[in-house]
Amino acid sequence: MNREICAYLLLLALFLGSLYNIHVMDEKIGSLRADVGKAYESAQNSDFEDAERQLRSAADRWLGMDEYTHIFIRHTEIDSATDAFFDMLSDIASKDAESAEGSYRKLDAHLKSLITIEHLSFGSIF
Amino acid sequence: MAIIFVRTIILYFTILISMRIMGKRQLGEMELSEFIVGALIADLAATPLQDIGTPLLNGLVPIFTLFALEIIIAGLSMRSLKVRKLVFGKPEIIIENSKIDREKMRKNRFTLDELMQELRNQGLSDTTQIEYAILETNGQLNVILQKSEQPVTPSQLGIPAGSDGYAHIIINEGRILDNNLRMLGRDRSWLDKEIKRQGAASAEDVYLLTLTETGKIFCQRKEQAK
Repeated sequence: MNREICAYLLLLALFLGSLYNIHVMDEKIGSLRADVGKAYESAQNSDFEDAERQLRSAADRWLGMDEYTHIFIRHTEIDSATDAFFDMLSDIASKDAESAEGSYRKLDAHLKSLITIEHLSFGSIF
Repeated sequence: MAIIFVRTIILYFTILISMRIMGKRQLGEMELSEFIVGALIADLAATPLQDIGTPLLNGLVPIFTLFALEIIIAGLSMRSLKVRKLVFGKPEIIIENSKIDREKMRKNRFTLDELMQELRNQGLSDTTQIEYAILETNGQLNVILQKSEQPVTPSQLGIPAGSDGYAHIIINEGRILDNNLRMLGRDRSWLDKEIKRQGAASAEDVYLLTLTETGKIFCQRKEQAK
């Protein structure tokens, strides 16, 4: 009976751990998406300095999350998101608002997929 | 490379401990649910081992989940006959009074060739020798012979059948197992005398020495073992 109770507790811990991971990812990635969005808006308003500052800060935070993300996310997905960060940074540094829009969409899609892939939904399960 | 090395060690001990807690039956006669767990665990462990881009947790979480489910299912099936039937199925009598039950054979997808092969594995070729053949839930076929085909027992012959009891190992390749010695109510001085009586100079010269509850001794010296 003790073994079974431990097994139930283990299942519960795994489930709660998964939910906590979704919550953390929502919070961290959500905040990154908001900052990337602000950087994009600044770029659209031709304030490239502010856009670069905001995006660089977001990219640093993304890279700083490395210890956490590498445990839970496939490394290829992390690399894709990192590449998208640097693509957008490059477009903003070269003050190319048109290209920045494309790279923003790409980065936002990457970040969004990192959250949706973790969420429990019919689509993500099957 | 180092990542794979560390991951292999972690997964090895995870699987080892999981299987150990799940019980020894995992190693031999597996029930259906146990087979599923065994097959899945092997595959789940292989993925993060081969691909270092996959987080180790992707392998560990499903292994722990399967391990917990297996413990729960095993516990529930021990307490409930309905759960046991649902998860493991029930034994089926394939042969009754030498007659093969075709319906049960079909239901269990057991072909005649497979049945005959199983019977030959048990040294039987003629179904008339068989009173019952039962297909167990772990896929094993157990055969009960007709009374006329069963070996004669000492009780049928009226011969008293004594038992020497279990032979405990006292010396294993020169090493004395004191726990077994104490359990049988003997001590080192008795053992020293016995070793001399068997023609060995010391315990180190003995390859195997066993002792039963009734005092029957078997001794093989090292030079005899070569």
